Amino acid sequence: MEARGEIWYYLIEDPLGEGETIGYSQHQLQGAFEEHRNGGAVRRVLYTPRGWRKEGDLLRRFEEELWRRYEDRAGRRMDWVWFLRFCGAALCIYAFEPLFKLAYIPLSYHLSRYLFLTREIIETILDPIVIPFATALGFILGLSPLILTFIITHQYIAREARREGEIAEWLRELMKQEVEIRESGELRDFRENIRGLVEEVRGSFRDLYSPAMEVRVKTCRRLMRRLAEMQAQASYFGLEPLVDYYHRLKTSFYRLSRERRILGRNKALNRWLVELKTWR
Amino acid sequence: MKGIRGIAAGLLLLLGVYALTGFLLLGRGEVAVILTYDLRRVKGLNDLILLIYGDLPESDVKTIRFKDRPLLSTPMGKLYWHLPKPFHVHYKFRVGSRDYELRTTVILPLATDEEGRLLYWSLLTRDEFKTFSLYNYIRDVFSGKNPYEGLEIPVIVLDGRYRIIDIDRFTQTYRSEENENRRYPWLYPRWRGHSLIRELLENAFQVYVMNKTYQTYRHIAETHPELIIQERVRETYEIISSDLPGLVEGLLENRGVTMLEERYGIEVSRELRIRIEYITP
Repeated sequence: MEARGEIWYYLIEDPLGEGETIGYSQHQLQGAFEEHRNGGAVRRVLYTPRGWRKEGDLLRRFEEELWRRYEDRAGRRMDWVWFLRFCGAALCIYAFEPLFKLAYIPLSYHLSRYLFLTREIIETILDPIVIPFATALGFILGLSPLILTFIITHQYIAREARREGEIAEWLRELMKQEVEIRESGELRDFRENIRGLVEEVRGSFRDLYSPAMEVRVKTCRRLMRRLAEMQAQASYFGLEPLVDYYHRLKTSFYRLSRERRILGRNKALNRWLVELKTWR
Repeated sequence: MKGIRGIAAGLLLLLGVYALTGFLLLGRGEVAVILTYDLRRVKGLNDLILLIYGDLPESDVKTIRFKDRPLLSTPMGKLYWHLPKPFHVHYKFRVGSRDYELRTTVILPLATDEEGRLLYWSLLTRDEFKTFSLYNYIRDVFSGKNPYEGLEIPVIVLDGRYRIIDIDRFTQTYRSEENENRRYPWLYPRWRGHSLIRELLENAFQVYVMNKTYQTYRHIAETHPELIIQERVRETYEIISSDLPGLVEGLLENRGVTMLEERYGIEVSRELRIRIEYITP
């Protein structure tokens, strides 16, 4: 998926709803962001199966939703970051005292077995040297749950959130530029080829809301298969960003975790879950 | 601002956990002592460390008993709440009699410095009083030798019971007093409650045994002024080793123990069990 300085959007049939939507690759988007960071210029390219119509508006709406989604996700991540930091602080309420005292293990008491250390020697010589260090160490040890939470949340969540915020900001800026629209024969052929699949998916979509659990689960399974077929078709036509797009769409069905948790109790459906795992 | 919901939820959690530290569950027969710290007294780093160690002088000592009105009665006990640390700190104890075991060796002080520290002393062993000097003791310790190595030393072990008869007076043991050790709470932890009682009993016992040994020695010195020191020590050994448990007689009427009863509301039981154990350090 080589796209130096470009973000590729594809106008495709929306498999999960009526009308058309935009397909794109998250990996490519993030790659383009990296290029932008390194000082390169980035353009947006919309591939369509036909000549210019109103796809520009569709893209604008889609992009607005996209940057909002990035911003929301960054906000949610920061919520977790702060919540976890306060959890660390709450842990400190209980752990501070014993951890602080660890720094004051009276070493001199144990050393006095081997060295001649009287209380006077300890108080006049050892303590003035040791106490400032032990106090500093005590505070570091006592606050270590908080310090560790700060380090870990910064390393793994806050940095990610900041990056997502930057991507959202960048996408917003990028929207001010003109979008380049290109006609693509491969896209046209691809859309022709998957038309039947898309209609089948749309048709079975309402079964996802069926009151019967088994129907819902079976529909999920069918949808994932069809999406996998679309992914294979995209790969056949060399539309790499769309391969990523359909893959993401497919895997999002694994996240119907609520149902999976309920299904955990049911033996027959459990078997399905095992099968799902091997298929994955 | 990003993360504001997280900050709000986290603050709530923090406050909740902090408030939890003030809860106190009392079972039947249990009493809690609540110490109040005067935080205006925290002036420097050392006061802060004392506060962490719970060694800052308290401004108030309160008692919560099982019969007091609780916040909530649960099957596990009654629930009470006080302001959390560091404003208030609680210690629980069970009222009733407690066992103790005190141990001491028999030492005959021969010479002390002006502050009462031993310069020369005799330690009772199975066969004789073995005399030590501080100089030799320090020399041995410096050279890595155990000064008491190879000796068979009798240890008097005392088993008994005590009972809290006055809770208000007992809770005074939780009150911090100004003393010279206040600067080093980690080196010289302050005894509180039962551990203080046990410490005081142990001290009273050791001092009592040492005094009785010394009195025997003085008595011999007064009745036989012609004897040299070694002979006096040998005589003392003859008397003491023939009746080692006799050294404990009169301990319960001793000033240290009666002071414990008067000051801290502790009644020491009149039944004592005395054992002699031999140790080789």
